[in-house]
Amino acid sequence: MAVSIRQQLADEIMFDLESEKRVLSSMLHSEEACIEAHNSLTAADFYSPKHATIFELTISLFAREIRPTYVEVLKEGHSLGLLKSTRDIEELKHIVEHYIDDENIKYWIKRVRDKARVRKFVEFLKTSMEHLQSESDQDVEQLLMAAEEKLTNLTALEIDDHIDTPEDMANLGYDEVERRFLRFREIQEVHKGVIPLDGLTTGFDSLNRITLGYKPGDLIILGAQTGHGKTAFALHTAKAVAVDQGVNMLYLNTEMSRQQIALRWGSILSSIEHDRIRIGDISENELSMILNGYSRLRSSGFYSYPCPNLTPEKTISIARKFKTQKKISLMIIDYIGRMEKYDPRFQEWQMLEQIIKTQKMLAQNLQIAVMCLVQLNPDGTLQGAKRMKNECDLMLKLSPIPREDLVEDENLKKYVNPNYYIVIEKNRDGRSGVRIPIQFDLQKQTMKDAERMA
Amino acid sequence: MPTNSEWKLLYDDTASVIMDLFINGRINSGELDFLLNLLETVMIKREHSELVELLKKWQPGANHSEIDDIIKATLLAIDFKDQLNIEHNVNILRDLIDLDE
Repeated sequence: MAVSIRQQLADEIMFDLESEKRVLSSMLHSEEACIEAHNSLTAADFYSPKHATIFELTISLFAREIRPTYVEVLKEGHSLGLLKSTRDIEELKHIVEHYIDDENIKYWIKRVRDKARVRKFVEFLKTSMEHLQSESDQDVEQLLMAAEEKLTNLTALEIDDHIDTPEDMANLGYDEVERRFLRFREIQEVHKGVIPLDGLTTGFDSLNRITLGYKPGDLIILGAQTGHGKTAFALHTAKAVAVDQGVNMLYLNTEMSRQQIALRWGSILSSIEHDRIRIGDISENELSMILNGYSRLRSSGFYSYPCPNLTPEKTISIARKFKTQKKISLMIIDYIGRMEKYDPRFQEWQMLEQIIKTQKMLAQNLQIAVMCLVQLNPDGTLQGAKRMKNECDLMLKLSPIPREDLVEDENLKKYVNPNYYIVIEKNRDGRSGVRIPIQFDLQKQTMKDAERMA
Repeated sequence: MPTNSEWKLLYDDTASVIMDLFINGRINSGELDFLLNLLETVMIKREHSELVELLKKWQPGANHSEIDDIIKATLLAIDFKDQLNIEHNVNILRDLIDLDE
């Protein structure tokens, strides 16, 4: 009798219980490990059913923002009736005690994943063998084609890769056209010609009309010179998205303290000069206006993470965490020039390019919009601008309107006190090269579309 | 003061003992939840020291007075996720334990 493929293989080829324990143990001790494992593994990757259960319990706690400690896993397991015997407890305790540190978590995760792939390969060999044995008169061409497809999926593609068949592509195209057709009708009939957004509001009507909003997977770059409104633009966007629309978003700031960010909100939400709020020179009436503003912030979707030593890797793990736990739709990085380098040998522009590439991948993987703020040179240019432009979906520049433009440009005279331009340098889904005049009140830290003269 | 590793060992062992007590039928589900929550509160979150001090002070009598039963019922009713509930029950427990002395 033929010996099965599985019987011929040593256990250590098929699974690695030690690595599974290391991954689980790290997850029970470190948030970073939870984020990494949540993103890279599924319960099906674990060979031991008990390990798969512990993984699911831990991930379920993490997703509900409960720190997955030993006690919390015990409680969760008990409430779901999954930990029933002293042996279950001993096994869990053994895993908890297995912890060394999570520095090598990626290595252990890779080992768990690789073993899972080996098992899939063995399963493939087994089913291929069964096909050969069961059908005496078979279409060899078809058999080989089917086997090749399965094998390709195991080797070339990652779990979440997807290849569109001609049918998929045709269906997708039809759905997209139908959606646009129905939306156009809705615009005509319900919205009286006002175009509804495809994504999140930008906070400016004119920019909304051109971009149709910040969409999931979009990378937006906003450049401005020092002291010319990068943070004000970021918080204006945050107000429109998180305060006015109640959508959850994450704001990463590399240079301001928590107190500074909180104080900025006071001005933005009350339209009272920032300097006066900073020194406390406000009336009682203004104080109540500011408090009223903060009560709007309290019930908003604004999550802030001041982080002076932000690295590209850290942005990935923070974004994954907030996507899982808070379902964020937008992340703003203010600003990337202050992020720490991957490699100290990199030039500044090389580092920026790497960061931008990482953020584009992050936006697509998590299906969120990511906005990166960058600093322009004193002459208004941006180092590595061409490469950045290639990566992003929308590139905006915020710059003061030159005095001569205000005097000579007839078009600008149609607006009430415009002082800044938002320049659309690139727009993957629509018009670019457009300059939108806005009003930026530096003292109140507020921005709005410049109004047209009556 | 115990070292970090001794502290962790104590936490792991205590959690396992509590769970074993439940599996072997020595404590019920409510008692299990309370003891695990208390362990988490004391050793991980390091909160509610007042509750811990009260528990140290409480010396349940050998013949289980009615007050002891009420104290136990009050302890089991604590909702560890609700700060107000904890404060409210700690106040009740303080009075009950004073009465019991």
